[in-house]
Amino acid sequence: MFNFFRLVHNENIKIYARVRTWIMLGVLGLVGLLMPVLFGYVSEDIGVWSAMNTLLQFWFLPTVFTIAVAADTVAGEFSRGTIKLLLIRPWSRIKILLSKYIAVALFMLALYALLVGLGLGMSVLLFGHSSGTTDILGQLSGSLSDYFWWSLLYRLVDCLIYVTMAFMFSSVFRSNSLSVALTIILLFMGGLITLLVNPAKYELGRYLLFANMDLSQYISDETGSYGVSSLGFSLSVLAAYYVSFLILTFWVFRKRDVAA
Amino acid sequence: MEIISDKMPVPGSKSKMTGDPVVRFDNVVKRIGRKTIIEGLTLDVPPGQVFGFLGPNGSGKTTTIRMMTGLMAPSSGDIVIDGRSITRDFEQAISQVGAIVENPEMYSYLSGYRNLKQYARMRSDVTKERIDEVVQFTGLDRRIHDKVSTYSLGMRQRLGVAQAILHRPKLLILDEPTNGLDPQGIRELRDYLRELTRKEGTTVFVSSHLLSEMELMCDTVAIIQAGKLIDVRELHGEADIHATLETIFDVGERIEEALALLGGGEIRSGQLVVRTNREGIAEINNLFVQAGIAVYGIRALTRTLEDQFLEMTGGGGIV
Repeated sequence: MFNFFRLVHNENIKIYARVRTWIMLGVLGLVGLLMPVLFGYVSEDIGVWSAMNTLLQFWFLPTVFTIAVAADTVAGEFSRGTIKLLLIRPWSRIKILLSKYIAVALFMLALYALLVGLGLGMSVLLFGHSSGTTDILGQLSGSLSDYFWWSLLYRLVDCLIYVTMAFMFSSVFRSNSLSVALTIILLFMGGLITLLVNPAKYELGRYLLFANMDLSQYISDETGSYGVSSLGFSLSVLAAYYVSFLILTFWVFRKRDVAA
Repeated sequence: MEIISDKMPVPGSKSKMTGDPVVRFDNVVKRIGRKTIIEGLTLDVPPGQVFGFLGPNGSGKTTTIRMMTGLMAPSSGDIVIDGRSITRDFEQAISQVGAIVENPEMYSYLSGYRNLKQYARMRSDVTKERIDEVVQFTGLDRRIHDKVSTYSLGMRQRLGVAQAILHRPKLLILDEPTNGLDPQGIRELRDYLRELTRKEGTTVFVSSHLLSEMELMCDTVAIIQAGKLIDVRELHGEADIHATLETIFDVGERIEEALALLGGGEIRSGQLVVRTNREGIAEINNLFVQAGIAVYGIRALTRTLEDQFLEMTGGGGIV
């Protein structure tokens, strides 16, 4: 088992040895540092947690960055041809793919930790003294800090789904650009698709992946955005999609003839 | 005087076995779509040899190597490496294998050394000392900490060899290993492969379409064409290959007269060609001189493996 972590270590090296990764980290670091400053200018009396909730609107940044890395981790090895030298080691393909998936998931956590860590540090520094009465998110029940942590958790769930999707496309299509494009199209089209197959009107719509994402819809209303669902139901649907994505990913990768 | 008129004998016959085969192809078939790439390949690779796998472009060499390394699954049949099936017992079988499949593609954004470390981490038996030893050995020591993106093709090829031998495999598979190497590098590789088989008992499986190269490198050569095994032959060294020579005698205008005098040989594209041995050449020369036929030149028309190969594969090739 110890040796398996050396595979994950290898994958981490392949992620962090690249300039691209450090540009992503730099951009995210700047957003975490500068956005609270901007919030301070825009709003006179903003509290730490209001600032953090606003900062979380930038969730798409770490998500898109992780999607790019996830898409590259399998497809990139195919396009560079390095997959051959990787697969002729005494490791099953399942373990090699799993090490890649774990490295990508760790990268996702690192990006969110960077954004939230720097953002929180700056917010405390800038607004720590403020009473924080201004509620820029509108009326809410519960404390703003609770709201933030739950939103963050739900964003991480969403991100993991998108990243798993990108990982699946990467394994199935072996094309970096196609995987990124498809995932990001779905990321931004999801809302529109749900609008067309409105879960409030059509039973089928309730089973759509996108109708069940953004679990923060259940914070303000227990029946969700469309008033026909519940947190438990959405979690089950997400789990079903997640598991099917992973099964397809691993099955295709294990069976595939490598002719890169 | 001995003039040999029948077809040139085939040097060596089927390979003699010494010990259990390191690789055993058991009726391996590979179909991709409706096209059959490999048609029932059955072949044993004896241990401790440099074994050549020779065939024109598109004959299925790389496909065979992909199947040997588990990158592709055979449609039917099996490949057994060191007694273990590559399809059913992949991890055990592949642990005895080091390989370069096609071009040695590396992570260009990492240094050569960090590339080797990647592969070292995937095994428990590669020490830091071993990495250094392999780096020394492949002559990369001065550039090993540079990024691979700055390497020439020859240096990448060397790095490819380095990753393949890192874990002292019993079976080393090299796909067109001389690609991109300069004559000096080819020579070094050849000497190295010899050393590996002799000192460590490694079996080397080399594919190539460069016939002259294979003649110098291999103990045994299997010839494949259009996915079918045509022949397996041992190469006993140059003496056997060139035991009988086709020799051209340049006798100027009196060629018909010379042919009649000789009572053998043939006229091929205006030249007198005689198949004989070393002593025969001297005797024929003497005969001509005594008959007053001036001999302006004698030269050997050696038939290399290449000629035999082209003859066998019909000179054409890509099917």
